Amino acid sequence: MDKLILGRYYPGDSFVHRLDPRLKLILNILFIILIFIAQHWPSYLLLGVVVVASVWASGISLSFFLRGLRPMLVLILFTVGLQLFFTSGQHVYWQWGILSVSQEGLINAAYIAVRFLLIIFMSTLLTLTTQPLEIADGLEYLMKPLKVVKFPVNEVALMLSIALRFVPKLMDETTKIMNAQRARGVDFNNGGLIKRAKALLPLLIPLMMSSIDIASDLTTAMISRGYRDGEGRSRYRILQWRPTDTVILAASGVLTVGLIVLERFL
Amino acid sequence: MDITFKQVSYTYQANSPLATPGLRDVDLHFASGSYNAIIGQTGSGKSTLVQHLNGLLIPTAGQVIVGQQVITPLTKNKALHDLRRQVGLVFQFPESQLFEETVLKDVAFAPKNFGKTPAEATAIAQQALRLVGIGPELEAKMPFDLSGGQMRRVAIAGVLAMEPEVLVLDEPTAGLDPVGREEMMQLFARIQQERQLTVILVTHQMDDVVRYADQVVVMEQGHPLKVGSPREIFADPTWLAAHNLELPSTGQLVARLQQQGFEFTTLPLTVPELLAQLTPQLRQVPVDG
Repeated sequence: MDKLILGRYYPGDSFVHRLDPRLKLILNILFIILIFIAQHWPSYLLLGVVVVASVWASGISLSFFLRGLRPMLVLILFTVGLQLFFTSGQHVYWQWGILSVSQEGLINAAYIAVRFLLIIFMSTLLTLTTQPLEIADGLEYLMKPLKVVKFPVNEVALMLSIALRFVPKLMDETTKIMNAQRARGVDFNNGGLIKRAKALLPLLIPLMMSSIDIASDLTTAMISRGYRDGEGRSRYRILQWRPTDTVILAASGVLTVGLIVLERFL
Repeated sequence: MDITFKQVSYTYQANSPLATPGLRDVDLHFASGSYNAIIGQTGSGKSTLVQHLNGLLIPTAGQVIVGQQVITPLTKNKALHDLRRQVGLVFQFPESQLFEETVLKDVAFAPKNFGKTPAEATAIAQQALRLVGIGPELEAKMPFDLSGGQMRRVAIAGVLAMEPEVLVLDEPTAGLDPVGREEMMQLFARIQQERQLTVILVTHQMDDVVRYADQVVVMEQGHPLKVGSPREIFADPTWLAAHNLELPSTGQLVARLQQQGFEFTTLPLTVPELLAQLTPQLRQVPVDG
């Protein structure tokens, strides 16, 4: 549980920490689009440099990121493996039944791995440097246009911030219940797939029960304080767009244009 | 079972920027069959300490010796299964660990994990339930249908059903009413006597410390600050106050009586001791009227 860093906040006061959450959200979306525009290695190199520079500006060490990747490794390897073994191509190096390794497969797998890594790095950077509530505020702001089509923006934002707020709480609860069940002889780490899946039951049921308890307590607290949703709620945290945010946005625009031009010439 | 901590240190999330010290240089000994209390402020490392007793946490330096088993930073998880059976750990708010369809099944869960047959496990579970005062009529109920106090008892029965030789209790009475607390503490004292258990109790209730503990460990910032009998620990009210520790209620009463001019040669910690020193002085007070 301690190892997964995606979704955690890393307290700090770096340049990246201070950027407007709206900007960071937009840049993350933009970055994912750029990743898929990029089709050649020089473009990936450029994006890689951007990622490393952003991590550097956040003041969080690169090795911390790399360690945080470890829990995601299975997912990455699985996807890369799929690409590697199931892409059919002209130059086949190895074949066994329906599995084959071809030149195209190798290249595709490498692309997928790099895309995965870059996207994970960037989104991890977002969550590490932005408090969950800031993210929720940013999303609420960015979703505002959807009000036109009667999308319940405020309610969704409230749900989001509540959900985010309780992630650490549920993490703690998970650790606690895991410990209690390990003390009663449950082994979460050994045994076959079925045994391990069965071992999750004593964890998931108590976790579900406590989530329901938390939710009902929170509801009671909100009702007793007269919470009402909808229009006209004033806000406690106000997002502030600074000149540096504009500069970074402009720089990202330049990067986007640059990347598209680069792709054209390659 | 004898328990010894030798130069034990533990760091949370070691080797990461978020590393925080949990324990440092802990040297402790808990004698077999003794009743030990661990006190200290929130965040002083009490819970971290007790999680070393059954290998939920492995020390980052030093060694923990429980009976025959030595736990070092290199100990593998697999080697701890037997230890987990011998050391029963009751967490804070243990009712949150209940998950089975029936009370009986939940209590039988641990013995089954530790290799008992279903029939044996059921028998042990029934015994453990009787021990904590849960009757047969509740066995088939869903644990979530019970009252808070009953759930707590069932959860504790679930740990006792492991038939541990060491019982670790992390604030077992938190959130209970005074009567429930009293009953629970007496229950633990009885079980300790009957089964010759080594008990380690983490608590904020100084009255329980005075009443039950043979040895008291005061933790501060991950380090045992003072170890001794309750009498030694509570002898110095100024020292206690300096470390934000409360006196037991008799001690608090004594402090107020002293302000009123009563004199005490030694600090009484129990009601009989208090009375022995107080009654002669009361007789000297002239009665008005």
